[in-house]
Amino acid sequence: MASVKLTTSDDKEYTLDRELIFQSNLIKNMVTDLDVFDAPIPLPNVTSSTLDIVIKYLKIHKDDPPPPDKPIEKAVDDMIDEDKELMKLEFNIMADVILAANYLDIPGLLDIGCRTVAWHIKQCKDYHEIREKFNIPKELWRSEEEIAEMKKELNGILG
Amino acid sequence: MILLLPYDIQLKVFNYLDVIDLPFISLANKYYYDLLSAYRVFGRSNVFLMGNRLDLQLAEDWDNYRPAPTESHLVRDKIKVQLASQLEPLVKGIYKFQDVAIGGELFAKLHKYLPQSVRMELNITCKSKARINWDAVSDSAMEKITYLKLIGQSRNGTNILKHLNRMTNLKDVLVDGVLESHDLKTLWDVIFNVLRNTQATALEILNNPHINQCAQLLASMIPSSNLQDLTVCCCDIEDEFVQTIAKTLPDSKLKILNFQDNETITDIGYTALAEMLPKSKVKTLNLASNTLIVEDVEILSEALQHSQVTELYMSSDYDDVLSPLYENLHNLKIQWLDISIPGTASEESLINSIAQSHLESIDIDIDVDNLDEFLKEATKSKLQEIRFIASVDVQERVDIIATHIKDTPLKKLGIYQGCGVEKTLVDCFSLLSNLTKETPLTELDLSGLIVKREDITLIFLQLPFTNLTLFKIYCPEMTDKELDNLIPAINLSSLKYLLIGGRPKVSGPAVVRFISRLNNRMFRKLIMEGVILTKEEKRSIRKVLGDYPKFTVTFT
Repeated sequence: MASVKLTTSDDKEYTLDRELIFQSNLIKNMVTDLDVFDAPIPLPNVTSSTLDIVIKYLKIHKDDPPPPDKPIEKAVDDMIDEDKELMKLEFNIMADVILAANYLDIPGLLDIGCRTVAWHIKQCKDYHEIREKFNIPKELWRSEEEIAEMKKELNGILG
Repeated sequence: MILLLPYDIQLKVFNYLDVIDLPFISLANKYYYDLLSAYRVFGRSNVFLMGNRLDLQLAEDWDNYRPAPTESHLVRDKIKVQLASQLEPLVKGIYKFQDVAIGGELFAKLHKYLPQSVRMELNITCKSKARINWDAVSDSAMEKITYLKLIGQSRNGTNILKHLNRMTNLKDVLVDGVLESHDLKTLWDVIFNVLRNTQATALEILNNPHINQCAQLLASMIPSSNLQDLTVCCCDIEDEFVQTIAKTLPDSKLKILNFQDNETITDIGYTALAEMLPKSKVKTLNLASNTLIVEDVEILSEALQHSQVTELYMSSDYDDVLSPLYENLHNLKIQWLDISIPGTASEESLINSIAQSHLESIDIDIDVDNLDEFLKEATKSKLQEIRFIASVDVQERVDIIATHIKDTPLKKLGIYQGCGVEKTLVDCFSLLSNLTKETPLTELDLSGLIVKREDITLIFLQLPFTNLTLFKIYCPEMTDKELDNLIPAINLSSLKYLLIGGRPKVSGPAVVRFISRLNNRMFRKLIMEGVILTKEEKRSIRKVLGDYPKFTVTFT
């Protein structure tokens, strides 16, 4: 089976089955359009630890049918158990995986990454918990006066 | 972490959140609210961008019976969002715009990012101080504008007039506001440019007494323009103006002529109008809230006989001037009549002619002593829709209507109280109990009356025995108990649309329970006024209805 070589930003080289890695539209296009077969494809934005997670995702979904042209709207937690397990990551690692999925153009992985972040936001009881969970720096907090004002307005809106 | 993600990915994340989550996130971070709200709602609803503020309004389609596209509709019909500097990249992500109302300054700033399919209402207000460079706005952006509103007087409003010919899809232009005399030229420019340089079919001029000085210009342009709707309201228009416009009617394409709220027109103006009306294509004539006298109505009624007018508005504070109209009603083509004024002396002639008239719809304030007779005659008429205005003797009127409701061919009925009159507690049970499956009535609006608490359950229990698909009711005394009792009745009824007004005293859990037990497959829309729900309750409702709810719920 033909393979594709990838080199991560920390100089680790991977050799992956074409069938597997072609779930990445970026790699697929590079290989087929640019006829890059033998030379390793550099991934300057992706570390090996991130790529490991990406590969786990690709293996889970290697037999999936091609994704539909129009994304299907799903509930935030509507994903298979393997994906849920895969996404049990620290937030900074999850951000790297999402960025990698975006860069490599793997729509399915990008989708479950974004949905997982949204799910975590939805679990927060209030804005204090959001700040804490996502480590939002103090300089980005609204002042107490602003919050009081906003709450007043929101009460009117949500009435 | 999430702050490090690029905008487009952040937007993807936020797309999985509900509108109800957004305010809470906005409190956590200085700029999320703008990003989140705008993206979330832009994709799915009507958007109003005004000045430096966004008003995002979810579609409220009471009349348009289509199911709502998303759960966003569940929790509110309006959110307001402060505009952030992050808006521009955000707008790039918008792809499902439908209708947008936008301030001129913002339009000029964002025009590059607006999707092809958008239809635009452009608002230029007197508050707009920044100088807008309209030359820099692309032709394709200008082509999106279908409705131009110039409110008050501003430099930007004047400047955009030079660009009207680039708005090739312009349909309607509205000029609202009292112009100073030295600004008269602006009004001239509006008229000239709209009628000469665009395909606009509607011109609305409000609160501009200086329009009187533009009569000749307007008249000279009308015949060669595409104008079909001319509205000149609250402008103190003089007889000379009416005379000048009337002369153009035979050569114009005007179908709607609206001179509402102009008490300055006298018999001279009405005579001129009456003379030309039969030679015109006008189908809708609005002379409401003007000072008509019997002679004016006489001459207009005569003219209406030979005209194509089918929709007439003649409500006014003056009593009994409409007798000549009523006497002649059977000779007129009028199908829609708004005469929501009390006038007992004229009513007899109305009653006598209603069975022979072509009326299909009427707004009327009829005296309680004449109501019985009116309804008897209405039964023999072509009337399908009546909106009763009742300021006094409300209970008595409802009881009389109840005795006739079974026999009338009406499909739509509404009972309201007059302007400025406080709503009265009314027993409406008899009205509902007289409806059967044989009664053609499908829409009943009782939102203008207060329903007694003890009647609520009884009223709703009647619904399965009626053909009602739309029901509006006002019950401030409704509690959880009544709400629980409604469910079986609604499930068995033909209802599609239900409005419960009056800030009922129902709890959040009862509302959630109510919605989760509704399984009427016909049901499309529920509006509850003034019901306050917690975030959790709103979430529960969203969960019950799912992402593509079969019906929508709006809390106003």
